[in-house]
Amino acid sequence: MQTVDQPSIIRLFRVTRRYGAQKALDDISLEIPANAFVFVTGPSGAGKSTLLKLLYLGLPSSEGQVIVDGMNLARMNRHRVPMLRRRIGIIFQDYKLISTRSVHQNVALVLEAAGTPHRAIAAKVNSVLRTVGMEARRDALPPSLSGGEQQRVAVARALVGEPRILLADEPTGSLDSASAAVVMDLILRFHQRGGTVLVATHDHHLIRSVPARVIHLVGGRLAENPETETAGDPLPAASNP
Amino acid sequence: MHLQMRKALQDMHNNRFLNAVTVVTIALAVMIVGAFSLFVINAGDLLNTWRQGIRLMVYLDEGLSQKGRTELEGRLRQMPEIETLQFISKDEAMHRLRSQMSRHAALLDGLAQNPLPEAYEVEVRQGLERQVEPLAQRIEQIDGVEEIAYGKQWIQRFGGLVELLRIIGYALTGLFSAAAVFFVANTIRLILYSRREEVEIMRLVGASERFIRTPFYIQALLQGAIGGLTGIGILYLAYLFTAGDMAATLGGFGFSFRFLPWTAVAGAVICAMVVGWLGCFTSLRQFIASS
Ligand SMILES: Nc1ncnc2c1ncn2[C@@H]1O[C@H](COP(=O)(O)OP(=O)(O)OP(=O)(O)O)[C@@H](O)[C@H]1O
Ligand SMILES: [Mg+2]
Repeated sequence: MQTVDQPSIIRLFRVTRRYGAQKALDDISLEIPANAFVFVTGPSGAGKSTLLKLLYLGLPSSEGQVIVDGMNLARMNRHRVPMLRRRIGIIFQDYKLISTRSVHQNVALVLEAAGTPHRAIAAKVNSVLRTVGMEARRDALPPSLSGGEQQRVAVARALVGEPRILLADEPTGSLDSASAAVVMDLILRFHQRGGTVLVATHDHHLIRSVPARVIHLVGGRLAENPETETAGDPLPAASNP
Repeated sequence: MHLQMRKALQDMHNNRFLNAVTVVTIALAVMIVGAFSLFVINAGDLLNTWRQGIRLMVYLDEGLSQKGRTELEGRLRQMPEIETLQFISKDEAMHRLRSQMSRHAALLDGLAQNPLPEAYEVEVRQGLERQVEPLAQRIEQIDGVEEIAYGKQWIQRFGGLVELLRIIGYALTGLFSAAAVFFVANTIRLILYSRREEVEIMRLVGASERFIRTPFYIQALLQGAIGGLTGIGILYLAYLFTAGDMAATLGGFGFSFRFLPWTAVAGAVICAMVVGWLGCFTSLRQFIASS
């Protein structure tokens, strides 16, 4: 599965994450090669979100090693956390858009924080907003958008910094199937350009729509038969763009 | 930087009321402290004007011999603080007294002998007026000097008062600075808490702490600068309105009421900015610790 040409971009070695006495993740070891497309699935409370959070240091692990794009997160100086996060695009389940800033400002923030020159920012943001079809609403405030529109802005923000890894927590959770297909299509295009994708979901329909590796979590552990590969029947709406 | 500046200004605009309260607080602090400094500086000037005109009268022992007097004069002449030295004989002293008493001079006719002591009138060299007190003390030690007279008590009392005011001024500066720091810290804290979510999201998308904090620091420095300039400005207006009256009252002493020197003005504005910076620093530290 892992070759010299494709070193793992994400590695977990015996990772445990506790909340008090409860283990949200229990002794997880895992390798994900660059340019993989991975679904993380399992019942509610299985630890999917927790796993994604460990990868961008939204949480530290309690035990074990997490290595992302060559960086050992357990030993990472907190001043370097922003560097890690600039290599990762994150689509949050609750979007996490700043409600008092316009669509354009929300997306531009990523580039401003990374120190991209002012002129380049506007061009890049406009281009990515065009890609997600939100160009016309660039000056709107997030609360005035529908869920699907907000999710597309969230995708735009995750992609605008040209990250190496894309993490998506239930990216289609609250969307109708048409919006879901648009969002999955954007994620797939990122994957085709060479990006590594991790999607946490319990939507089996979504999982079957893409040929991908599937990691099953149950109660914080990798399940008995932990991994499967899906065949990839495209979502109905995505096949006819 | 341009971007951060814009964010800071936008923030200030969004939180107009809080910012106004802070700016007013800083302005008041600067005004009060500035008014005190103004008073102390001018009182110091006044004190120096008084010292300038000062002549010391060095009265000699009744029985001092000619030789003793020459010796004493020699020693006085060696003192670098002394500009001129004039001997006043008993007769000269009587003559002066008579001319001072003018119409009542006849009263002096009844005296059997001249009771006035011999004296030296000493004029202190320009620029060394501050050394009047120690100089007088040294002269008093010399053999043959009976006593020395000058506006000593006046100067000492007034000098003591100015000194006291200066100390009160320092205390007030400390007090008002602390209050201003507290206000800035509170403003920034309120803004921070109202933007908790935003700050959290900025962190998640890879913003450094510096990137997040810079607009707050700019904001606090601007509050300081605006507050400082406003305070000084109002003080200057007050000065303009009262300076005329003051000149009329005190001008006779060869004294002019002046405003704070530009270094003090710059210092006040810089202090106000430091206060802003400190306020921001404290609340950011608390905020980071709590998040
Ligand atoms: N901040 C927290 N404090 C305490 N316990 C938590 C916290 N976050 C998660 N947990 C617990 O950790 C376990 C895993 O949570 P997690 O959010 O990772 O599950 P999930 O697989 O994402 O579930 P869902 O499908 O509902 O999103 C759950 O039992 C949850 O109650
Ligand atoms: Mg979850």
